[in-house]
Amino acid sequence: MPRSSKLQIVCAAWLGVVCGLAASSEAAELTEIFQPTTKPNTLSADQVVDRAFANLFVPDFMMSIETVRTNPAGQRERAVFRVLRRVVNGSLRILTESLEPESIAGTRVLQVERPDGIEQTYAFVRSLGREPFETTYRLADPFLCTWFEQEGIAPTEAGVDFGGRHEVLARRPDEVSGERVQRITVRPMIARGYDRIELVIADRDFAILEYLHYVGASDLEPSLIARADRKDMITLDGHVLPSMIRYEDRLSRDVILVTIEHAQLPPEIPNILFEPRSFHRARTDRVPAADLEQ
Amino acid sequence: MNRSLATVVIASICAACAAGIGDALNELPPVRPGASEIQVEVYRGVMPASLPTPSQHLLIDVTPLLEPGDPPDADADLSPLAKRMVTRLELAPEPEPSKLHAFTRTGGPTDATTCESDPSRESFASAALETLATNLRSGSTLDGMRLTLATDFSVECAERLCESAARLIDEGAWLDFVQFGSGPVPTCIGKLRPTPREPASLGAAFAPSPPTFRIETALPAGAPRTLARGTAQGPPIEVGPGYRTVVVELNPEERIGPVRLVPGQRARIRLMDFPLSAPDQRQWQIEVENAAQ
Repeated sequence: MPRSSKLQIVCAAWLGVVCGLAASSEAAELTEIFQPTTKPNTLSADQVVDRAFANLFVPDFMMSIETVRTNPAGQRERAVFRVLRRVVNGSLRILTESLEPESIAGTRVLQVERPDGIEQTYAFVRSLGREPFETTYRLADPFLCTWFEQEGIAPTEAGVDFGGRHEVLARRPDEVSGERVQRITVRPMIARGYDRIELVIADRDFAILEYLHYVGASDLEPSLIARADRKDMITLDGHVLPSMIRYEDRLSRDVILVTIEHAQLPPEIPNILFEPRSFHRARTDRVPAADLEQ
Repeated sequence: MNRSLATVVIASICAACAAGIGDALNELPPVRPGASEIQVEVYRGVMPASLPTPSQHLLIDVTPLLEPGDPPDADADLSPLAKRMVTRLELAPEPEPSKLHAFTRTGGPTDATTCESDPSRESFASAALETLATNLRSGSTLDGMRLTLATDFSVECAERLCESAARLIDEGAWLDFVQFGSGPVPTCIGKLRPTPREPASLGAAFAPSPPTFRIETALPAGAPRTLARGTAQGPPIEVGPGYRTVVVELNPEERIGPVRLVPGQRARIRLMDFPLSAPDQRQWQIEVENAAQ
């Protein structure tokens, strides 16, 4: 009796010929064989991205944001700022104000996106003559929905206003923490200093769970990864929003933890806080309405 | 239908298609100055890799590990020997215990029927295969189940083994055979075929005419306008530069883009579809190459 361990694998040689068999059967058999339990996606990738940003966008809205940046040496840097958003006279106004550290508290940027496509940005720096400083917040960020509406307001080279549109370069269904998602790669129509972003969008409610930021067109690895866990999502007025985001900056090797408090914009905050002529007159966390109304 | 079978079939088809398309791409002439081009490739697969694999059972002949003249008792536990055989034969990964089955070519005749081709041969393997199939049928269907039989075929009655194997294949099982020893592989094993209805319908589903596609304007407002039409797996379609959406006319249609094309660019779109097992797993990507680069 041979005891050799020599293997001779007779792999189903017949399998190779099945393609050549006559196609005489009904395709209906295949549904019995596979019994797919899913249905095709009815939304295009472009529509999924639109739904994701529509989910993030709450018109009259306020975010209090705390960021803690930790560098590889363990040094931490904390900053607090606030983003207020309101539609005034048909134009979207976004007011961003630094609250901490104290050295830059009160610094404000007002963005006005007018219906005619003109975008204006105003800045207020409390004390001139001080040393230049680098802001630690990201004014254009998919998670904060300060990225989408800023895109492409200026006319494109083709003379077409794409108003926040983007190219959609790839779509791939995937699973993140047991949740079905779409990985969709987008590139802003207007160059913004990076090449593309891969958005990870939940199938069930279009919440953005993650994004990967690629700086160069030939980059195969992202330079920045931002994640929002499902457990850190809150629901506000039907919108599913992240209350905590973790950024991993692979270039600086910094880790940034961002905590966000979302709220509807209090109606008592007057519109003149969103006007270029008066937005600098008071800090948003100490709104002296009476002063503003003067 | 055996799903592993389908995977192999489609892998073959896709490999052939990819090779052909790759050759075609290498021979593409440069994009005409001032123009842009779009090329679409559509692949179809049976299932994404993330789906569960079929249930797999290993039926292994442990006779080589027995001491000569010392056959085990009829009710002896052969599983330790089976595990050793798996290691010896380098069959990895080792099946879980409930899916590892052993038999020996010892004991009395397994069947009163003589082997017509060679009366000196036995039917231990075919009997073990039949017994395993009977046990498995009691719990579920054999359809889609994967069975591997490892034995020395040189002492086995080939026609009896092939008859047993054919019955299992008719029920939709996938059979792999592992031969150890130096004996010849029975010719009839190589002639086994799955039932034709399954691969035929697979062939019909996965080798249809390539889908058509149309290239539309991608304006933020207003109805899109069709600029050109083409066929997947076909040559690139010339289209003017600008913002474009490509609509691949599958069921349902897949809208790809918008993508911005500049003069001299060629966009290659590759789409992977799993229409039968996972229609929601369709995926695609756009690769843009610039002739000027």
